[in-house]
Amino acid sequence: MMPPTLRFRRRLVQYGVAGAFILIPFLNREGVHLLSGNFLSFDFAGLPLADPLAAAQVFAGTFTLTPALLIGAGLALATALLLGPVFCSWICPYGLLSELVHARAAGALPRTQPGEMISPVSLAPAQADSPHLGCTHSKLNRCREAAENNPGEAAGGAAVPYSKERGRAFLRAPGALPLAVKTAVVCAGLAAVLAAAPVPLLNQLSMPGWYSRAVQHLALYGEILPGAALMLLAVPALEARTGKRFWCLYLCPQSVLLALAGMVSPKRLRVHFRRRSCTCRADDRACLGACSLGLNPRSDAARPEPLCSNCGDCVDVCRTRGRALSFTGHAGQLPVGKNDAALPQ
Amino acid sequence: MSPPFLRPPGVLSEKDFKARCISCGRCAQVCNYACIELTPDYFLFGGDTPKIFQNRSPCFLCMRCSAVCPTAALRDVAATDAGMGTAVLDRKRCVDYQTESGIMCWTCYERCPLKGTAIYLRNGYIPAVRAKDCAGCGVCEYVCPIDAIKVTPLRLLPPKDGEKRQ
Repeated sequence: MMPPTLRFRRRLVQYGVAGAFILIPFLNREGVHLLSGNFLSFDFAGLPLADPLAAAQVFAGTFTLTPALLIGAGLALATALLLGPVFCSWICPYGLLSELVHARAAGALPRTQPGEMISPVSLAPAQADSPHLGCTHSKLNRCREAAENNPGEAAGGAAVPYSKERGRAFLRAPGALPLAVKTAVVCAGLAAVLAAAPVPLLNQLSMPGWYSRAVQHLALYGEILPGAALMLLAVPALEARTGKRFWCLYLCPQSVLLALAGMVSPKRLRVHFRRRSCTCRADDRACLGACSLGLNPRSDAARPEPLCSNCGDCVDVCRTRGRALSFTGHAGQLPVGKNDAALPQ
Repeated sequence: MSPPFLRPPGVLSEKDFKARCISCGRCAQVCNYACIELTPDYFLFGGDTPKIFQNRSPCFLCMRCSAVCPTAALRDVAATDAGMGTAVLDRKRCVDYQTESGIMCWTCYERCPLKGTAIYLRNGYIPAVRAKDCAGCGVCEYVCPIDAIKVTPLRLLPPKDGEKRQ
């Protein structure tokens, strides 16, 4: 029996967190204060947790930080330092909503299965000329041989030599532009707070913040918070229309500090691509299609992709193929599932 | 125009408060008396900062909100240092000051959480406000049957000597 997929486990956590943040304000209303707060600042039975960006804005506005904010933001950043921006894919309730909307919007798109042949007619001329066309999982050895001889093309991307170029590969990664845009938004918001803005403006762009604030309002006053209703309806509607998770990619300022913290350590938890193990054809873009953020899991970059939130969707897809994608971290390579301890090398 | 509101106890200046408040709502969640309302400051997206509308539900100085504030937008201080504002008693309206009425109301005095300190009985029978001791909780305004006492919020008070406040 196959162990539960990472996505299944992740969904359990995501639904659990989203449900907990519905329950907590109502428990608070009844006098139970073991857990309190929202996604901007939260108290977990005495342990403070805080949005690092909210703390940064308070610091920019007042040049002081309270111990609670310092510890709370520090814990969030330390988690990102070790595990990458896992908050986005495992915790954030808007991330869940956005993923569900994206999955629904992309539901009509065809998905390739292991061993499935794609008609050369449907391919672009450059892809149709690929020497690996027709290579399936049943021809594993041949594919591996081909991959060793011509690693770049076998992976479906340009060959990246092991040099300084590899170190800079993340600059050309699909996530580089979105991260630059988000960072610009954060810098503008912090500059505004430094200059004259009376309130921490960027908190108004926090979708998990709106989610939890909406429930707080409902529990405390029995009212719908108009701003939250607008944001939580309009943004997913736009994402459904465009078919892209543009808020998470280009606008969410909360994810910027987490992504930047994740860039500090090259050995943090990340998706690792073993080119030799890839058995997919050049045109089989299953793992690329699995990434709801549109990132490229088949990356040779020495540093982790900054925006990759380690959701594991690409690893899930690869489990039934060559198992070329897996998680690596400080502890070395991690098994994909409990039955996957012996990974093919 | 919205009715004048108070900030919860422990507030510093309005500018400092707004720079620090991150709308986590924990003050409202722990309030024993459900008197803290989270309403946007500017239209829809001004952040839900805590407000106390003393005409609807005043603060009873339980001080739980200021104890949990993670950003020190509300300082964790004693009830006597809440500093939310100052009550101003209109002697022309207060029946206790109308000697010919023969009424001794004393409602504000009896209900004041800092009874005897913030509101005391001058000459033993006329309620009066001692401004420097008043926490500005708004209970007196809430209970006064003839609206003879009003609380001026801290942000609308002129700065004291040597105090920098915006």
